[in-house]
Amino acid sequence: MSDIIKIKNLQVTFPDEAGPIYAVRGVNLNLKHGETLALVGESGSGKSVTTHALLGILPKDAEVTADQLQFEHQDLQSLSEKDLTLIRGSQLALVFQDPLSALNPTMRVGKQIGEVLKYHEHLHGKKLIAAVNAEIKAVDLDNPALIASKFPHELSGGQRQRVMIAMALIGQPKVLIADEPTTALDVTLQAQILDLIQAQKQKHDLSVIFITHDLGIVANIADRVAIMYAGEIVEVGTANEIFYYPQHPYTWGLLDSVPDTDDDQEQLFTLPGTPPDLHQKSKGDPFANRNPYALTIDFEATPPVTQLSATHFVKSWLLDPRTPAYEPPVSIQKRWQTYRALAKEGTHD
Amino acid sequence: MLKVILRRLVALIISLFLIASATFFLLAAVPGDALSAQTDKLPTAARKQVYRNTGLDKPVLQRYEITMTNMLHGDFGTSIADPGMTMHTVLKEKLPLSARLGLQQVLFGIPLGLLLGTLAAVYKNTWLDRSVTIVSLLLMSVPSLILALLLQSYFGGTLGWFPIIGWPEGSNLWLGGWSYTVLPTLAGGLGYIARYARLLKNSMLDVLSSDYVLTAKTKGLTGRRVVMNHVVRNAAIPIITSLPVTVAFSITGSVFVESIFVIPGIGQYFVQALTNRDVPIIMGETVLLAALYIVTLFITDLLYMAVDPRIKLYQN
Ligand SMILES: Nc1ncnc2c1ncn2[C@@H]1O[C@H](COP(=O)(O)OP(=O)(O)O)[C@@H](O)[C@H]1O
Ligand SMILES: [Mg+2]
Repeated sequence: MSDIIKIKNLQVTFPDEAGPIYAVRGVNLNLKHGETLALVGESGSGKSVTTHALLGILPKDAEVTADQLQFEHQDLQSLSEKDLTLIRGSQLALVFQDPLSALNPTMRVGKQIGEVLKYHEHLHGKKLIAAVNAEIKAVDLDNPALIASKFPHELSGGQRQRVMIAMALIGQPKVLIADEPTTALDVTLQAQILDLIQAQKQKHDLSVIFITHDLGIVANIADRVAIMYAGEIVEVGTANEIFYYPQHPYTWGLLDSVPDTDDDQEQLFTLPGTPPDLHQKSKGDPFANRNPYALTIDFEATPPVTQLSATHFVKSWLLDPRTPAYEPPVSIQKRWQTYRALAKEGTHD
Repeated sequence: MLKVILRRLVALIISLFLIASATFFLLAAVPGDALSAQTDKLPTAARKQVYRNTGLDKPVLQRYEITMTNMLHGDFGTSIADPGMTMHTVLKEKLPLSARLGLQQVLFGIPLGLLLGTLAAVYKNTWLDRSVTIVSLLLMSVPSLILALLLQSYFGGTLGWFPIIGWPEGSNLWLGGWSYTVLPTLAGGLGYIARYARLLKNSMLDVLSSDYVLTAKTKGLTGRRVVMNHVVRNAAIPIITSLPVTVAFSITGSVFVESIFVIPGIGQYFVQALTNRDVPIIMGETVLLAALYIVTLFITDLLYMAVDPRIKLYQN
């Protein structure tokens, strides 16, 4: 599969009174054609900023550099603002976390959905209305004409998120970036929206970047998972590799904090400490002070990236050959056993 | 809608009745009245006569009844301190000048304020934004009195371009005496510049940093379209809805501007009436101002509903 998006060494810095904020620190990420890539990390780890940098919608004062920022065959960095506007909405689309604040409160949703076609494909009048209604129907909302005539606050949370998805998909983009699209919804609605995204993905041959802080909800939808911490990707691999052969202590922490539906007596784990202050570029591993497995070197030098398979990369000193033997938490060891058992059967991908 | 207007009308009448009564009794409760100063030295019999002529000799409750009944017929009575003046003549002779000055201030101040506010928001964090911020802070924090005095001494005194104070007696209230209105217009208008520049800048920044503007960008709208379709209307909401009150307050005269520049407007006249304890005029002004503001607030509510679909004030 070819890469539809390629990001190499992306850095984003925001000016701030207390000194620059290093929000994204050398992110490497690729999205393969037709896959769903989950981008997972605690709030503030730079997930949104990464995708906003890709679309070129960061505030003007943000400083963005990258060795590569590619969509299909186009180098996004070399495109003019005008060419970028042509790509946004029609090729790369974004769905936000909170549809209430992401929709214009004083414009009817039908008009908001239609804007994409109006300006990209110059559709007007009856044709535009028909296209909008068809798209509203496609996201499983009844009575499209009525929905189109509503203002955002007149819809329910689930309806609003469907409207957002309709708005993102009406331009028939190739890539959909869903930025925590279910965080503001209750569990039943979450499941419905996930199903909807999956269905649309199949139907329209979309490639999806699914952003979330909750590893739990990506288990069923992600082909690959990238774990982000303090502006860096610390581990990336196939869903199998991340869920059953995780290597980074931060990934372990995230996995342990996901409630396990099979096991009701399980002690839910919460990662100790708080994410680092992004004003500082720490000398060693930014995760060191929260890492029970931290070595002396973790406070001294940036960890190297270790490649474990064609798809699995980990940025941690633990995988350095010089690192003394260590035992991951029991819960993780269990996962490893599952992984090895699967590997033996030869059923893993 | 008709029901809403009717309900508001009833509320208006009740409010006005309460306000009028409160004003009346508060005035009655304070010792002394409009006649005490001029009748102090008179012999008792003469004083009684003067009091009888104006009806001020009657008991409070009876006076209250008469005042309220007359008011119902739109008659606030004749001024005691300034014989011959009624609310009707006050509105005809004093209000136009105040209204004109107020409108001039608003027409000068608000557009400039909106322009500066837009520039400050669009060029956020540049020298332009900073100067606008500093100037509007200055204008809002320096007491208007000092500002007015500075204007008088520089443009009126040093440069001698405009009269410092006063009003040419007998000139047309709406069209005459332009040079006399310049300094009062500046002095009152500067405040509007500051207020509206800040108001618009803040609301534009709010809107520009909102998620829905980001959404509009991700849809591939050009910068101009984003502003026209998504920023303008939302940023204008606080401006549009604050206009009625601003305009209403401006046309009813600024006591401050009229006093400093010695403009014979309604603001100054009201202060005079207050010092003179001129009950009919005070009552008339209070009730009319109250009515104006209540109506203005109603208009503001209607405007809110018109510009912001989230606001439904009157669900049936
Ligand atoms: N416009 C901005 N100005 C300054 N800092 C920002 C801005 N946008 C994001 N940041 C900072 O960048 C960091 C990463 O933010 P974000 O990508 O939104 O995190 P998340 O992973 O929760 O999506 C945060 O610390 C945030 O404070
Ligand atoms: Mg985010």
